[in-house]
Amino acid sequence: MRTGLLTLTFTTFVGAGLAVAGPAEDKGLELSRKVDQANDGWRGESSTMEMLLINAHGDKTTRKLTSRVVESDGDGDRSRIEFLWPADVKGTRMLTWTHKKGDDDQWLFLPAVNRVKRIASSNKSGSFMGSEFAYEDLGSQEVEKYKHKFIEESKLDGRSSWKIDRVPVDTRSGYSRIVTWIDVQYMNPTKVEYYDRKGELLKTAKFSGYVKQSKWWRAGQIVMLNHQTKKESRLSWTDRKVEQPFSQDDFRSDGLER
Amino acid sequence: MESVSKRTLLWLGAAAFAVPTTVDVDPALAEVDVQSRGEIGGESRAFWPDDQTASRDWNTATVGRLYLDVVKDKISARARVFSRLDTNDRERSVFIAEEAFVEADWRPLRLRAGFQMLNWTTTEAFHPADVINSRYYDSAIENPEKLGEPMLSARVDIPRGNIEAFFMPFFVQPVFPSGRSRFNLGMPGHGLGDALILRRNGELEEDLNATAFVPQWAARVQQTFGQADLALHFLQQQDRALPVFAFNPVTMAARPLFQPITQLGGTLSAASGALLLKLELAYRWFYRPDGRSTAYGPLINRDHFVAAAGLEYNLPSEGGGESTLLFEGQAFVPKQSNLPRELFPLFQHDVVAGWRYAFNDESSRSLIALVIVDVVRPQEFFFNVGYTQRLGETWGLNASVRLVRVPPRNPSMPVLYERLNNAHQASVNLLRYF
Repeated sequence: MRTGLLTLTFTTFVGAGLAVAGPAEDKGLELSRKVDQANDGWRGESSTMEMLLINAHGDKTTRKLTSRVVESDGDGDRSRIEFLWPADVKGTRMLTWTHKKGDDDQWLFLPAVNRVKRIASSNKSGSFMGSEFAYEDLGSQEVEKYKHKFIEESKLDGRSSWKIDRVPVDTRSGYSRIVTWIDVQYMNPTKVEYYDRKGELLKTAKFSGYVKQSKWWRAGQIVMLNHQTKKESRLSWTDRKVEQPFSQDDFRSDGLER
Repeated sequence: MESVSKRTLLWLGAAAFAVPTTVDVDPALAEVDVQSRGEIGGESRAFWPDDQTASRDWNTATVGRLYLDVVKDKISARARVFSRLDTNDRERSVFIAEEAFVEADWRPLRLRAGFQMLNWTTTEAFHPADVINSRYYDSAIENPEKLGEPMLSARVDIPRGNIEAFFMPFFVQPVFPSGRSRFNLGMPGHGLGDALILRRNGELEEDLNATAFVPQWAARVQQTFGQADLALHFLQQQDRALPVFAFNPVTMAARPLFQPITQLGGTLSAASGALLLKLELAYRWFYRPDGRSTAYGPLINRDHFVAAAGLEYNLPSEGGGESTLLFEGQAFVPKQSNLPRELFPLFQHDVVAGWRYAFNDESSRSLIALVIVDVVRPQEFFFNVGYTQRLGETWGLNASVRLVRVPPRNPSMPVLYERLNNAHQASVNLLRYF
């Protein structure tokens, strides 16, 4: 699986270099392969996203953006996000070329200065647009970047799920581990728990409103609750389309100004 | 710029902001995508010490910027205009067409015709390679606003890069601060006189309008290698940034004289983990006529090499915020040594240290502190501290304090940039985005 929440598919790539330590890890990889295959082949995806930020006092602010993502053969996906709201960031665009290994390539178009700027993609734990989503939640979920372990089969809200534990390989991740419930029918997550570097529960994401798009299931909303700050962010999608005929040329850094 | 036409342009600029942000499109033109956005608000700045009688040391202005994009299939048009109406110093008021062009996107070929604002830079403080556009110098000292440059351009995409060619038929005069401005480089109360240009045939043109026909061209190649972006350029242009000054003792005005230049340069930015490496180089040859002299005297050989290099390092903090540390340096190497430093720009052998903290919160609050110090004359420095935040969802506030020290070698007769000495300033801007 090559993308994070932008396309909202939880699949995993079976990395040749992954250490397999026991039956739980074996099963984790096996299930990840299954999920990966179920979520592969959507080619390109476009959507409009709205994010509602709610602070501990209940005050609400809104963010809007559009995204386009394309699958790449042999490497991670490429995504292009355009910010629509708040008005002061309208027209700002971010291009990401994710890679299976190593740092991603990332560029930002800043309309105020009419400049395309390469940026370091290392701040994985930073907040995305002031929300409870971190960049690493939204970016590539390449399996080479995690160690996986199957925990159990369980019921979540009456639905059959696989509970899988993931540990980020990158020490710059903001998480020590991520526990994910994969819905057996949707082949996508319905709940994710994020644990901070100290091992304490930091955030919980709940996925809902799954709709089948062609042969792929896509969530309609994610509610991310930060247990430590009591802040909440709700991400919802409209106008979502898969199998879009994007070309790699639509994801060039020198095309970011348009 | 002649005052009547300037006033007309200002009214046109104000009218531009009356364009509704949501455009009702005729059903027959439904496939035309029209997008607009912009900002309008107030600026204020105050200089201290208020010890110069000729200058207005307090400015308040209404500013606005409008962006308009129209796209139909492979043909598109873009306009980006900026207007500043200063209530204390009408000579500071300006209307700038930053962009106004039509584009045909026939990939891999892209053609553009009209006003463009190019950005050939990778560094944050010094921009030796970024010389195409003229600038409006009564704005931020370290990064003055750009004026749109009328041009025809063609770009061909190549794998992981592109090749561009530009033809620029006009010389667009830079806008220098008026005699009332604290940034005035001329004699107090007088400002700089009209520009002169030296043409490649050796003729000196003294009676310029806002623009003059001067054929100029440039070419640029961009390429991405791994995690690095490289660009190389070659240009022949009428210089906009480094005039020599011809002094007229009768009018008390110094007139900027712009020579033709040939420049070879490039930029590089490369990422490695949390580190971003930036490099910007240029070599400039200044055209001088046979005999090396004009009616205003001899022209000194000012050919030079200039290099700027920088490092940017990102440091996330636990609360989701992010610090960015910035270090940059610039070296200026004239072909002919021991030339007067006023023949070159304000920043020559300087280093920059900067820190920016983005809170990454709902209000997008950020703090920035930046210091630029001349390593040859460390008593020359520029210090800026600023704060920015969003107010609600449509308003933005930014405030800054700047200290400027350029001590004159002869205190009774400051020359050019030395006139900026102690032009300390505080500014508060409030903008509404739409």
